[in-house]
Amino acid sequence: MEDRCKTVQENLAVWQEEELPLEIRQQCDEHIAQCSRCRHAAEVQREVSKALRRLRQLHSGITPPPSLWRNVSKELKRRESHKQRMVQWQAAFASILAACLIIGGVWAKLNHSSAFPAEQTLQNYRQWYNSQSEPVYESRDPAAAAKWLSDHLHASVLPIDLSLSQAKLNGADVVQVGGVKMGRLLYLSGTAHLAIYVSPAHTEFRSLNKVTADGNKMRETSDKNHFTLFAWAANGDGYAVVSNAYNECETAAVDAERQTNLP
Amino acid sequence: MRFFEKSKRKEFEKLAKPYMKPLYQAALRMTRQREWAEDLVQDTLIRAYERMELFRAGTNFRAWLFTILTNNYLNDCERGRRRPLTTSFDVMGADGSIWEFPASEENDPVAVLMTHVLEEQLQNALDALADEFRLAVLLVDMEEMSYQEAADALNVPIGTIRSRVSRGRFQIRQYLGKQSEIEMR
Repeated sequence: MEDRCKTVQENLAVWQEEELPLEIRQQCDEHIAQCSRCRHAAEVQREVSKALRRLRQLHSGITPPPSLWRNVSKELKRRESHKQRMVQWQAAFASILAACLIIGGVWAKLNHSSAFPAEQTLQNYRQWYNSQSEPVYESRDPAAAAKWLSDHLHASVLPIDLSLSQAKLNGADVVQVGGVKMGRLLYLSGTAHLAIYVSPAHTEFRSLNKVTADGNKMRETSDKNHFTLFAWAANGDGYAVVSNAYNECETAAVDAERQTNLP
Repeated sequence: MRFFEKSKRKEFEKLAKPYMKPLYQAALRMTRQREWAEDLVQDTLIRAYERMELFRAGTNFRAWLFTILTNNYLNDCERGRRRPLTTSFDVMGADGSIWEFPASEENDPVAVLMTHVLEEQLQNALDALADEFRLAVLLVDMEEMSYQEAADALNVPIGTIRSRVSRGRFQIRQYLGKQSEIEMR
């Protein structure tokens, strides 16, 4: 068979159906006009195609059994209700999830404590008193210590100068008390060791059981070792003065409270 | 949601039901087995319903259904679950070429026979084709799909479909020629 014949016969299926590009169609027309073999092949294509279409017409009387559509319809309904159930489950699941998130959010909000950990502060002081460790930031300057604490607590800490209460600043450090990050200023007044704890945003107390001469309320608590704590809230922060000496502690608390409660 | 899902099913049923008959006839022509044809049609319609969102509005829904039917049929064959019933004979020439065909003759008995060929013989000739040729011929000549639609359904280039249809027709003709020779002896 010539190459030309082979090329033409590759396209014979569509030769008479006008699906061929015009150029190729013209080439086929020219070749078929000259080549009896390809003309015959083209005739075969046409006749077989015609016969197959006739066969299709003979099949046109064949109908599917009625049960077939019933089965299809039944299956589609089953899938439809399954999908609906899935959607209902998804909606229920989404509702439950949303409810959990809301409850969780409310619970977290309720449990986000802004309470000042007074008992733990007293305990922290007791631990420090037993070790009497030096502060991390040693300074006698209340303003410098306040700035150092402000940097480390990422909050504004006021300088507290207890010179009127005869107490000298030793320095400052940052401690974790009952899960709360606090600033701690250490002072010395004679034999009394004073510590002022500053806790930004922890301003709630179980009870304020002491009223100062200025009429401000404080919480006073002490332990069996006679360590005393005076705590108060001022300008959105919580403060506590703790000492091993009651009188010095009270004096320092009143002094510090005045400095923190300035308008 | 319930309403939308229900309306989707109703919509689909309305759209698909008229094609039930041509699908069944095509499935029968492919498989030659009633039970398999019924399974194929059922699977085709369910798959079409499940993938209705993939059908592009404005395109040929019939061709889309036939594409799914063809794929289902090929999948069944590939998995080896079922084989179509075919008569067995060799339509190739002695040299193995499927392109050789008798030279033109004025009174070619095959040409005469072709116009009066019995349904059974033609069906046998069709069944005897290898699946790739048979499906191409079925889709184009019997299901009246365009070459492009058939190419999409079989996932082959349009040139391959043209070639397969052409070869398939020659093989049918060759088979019928052999049969007529046998009958004339």
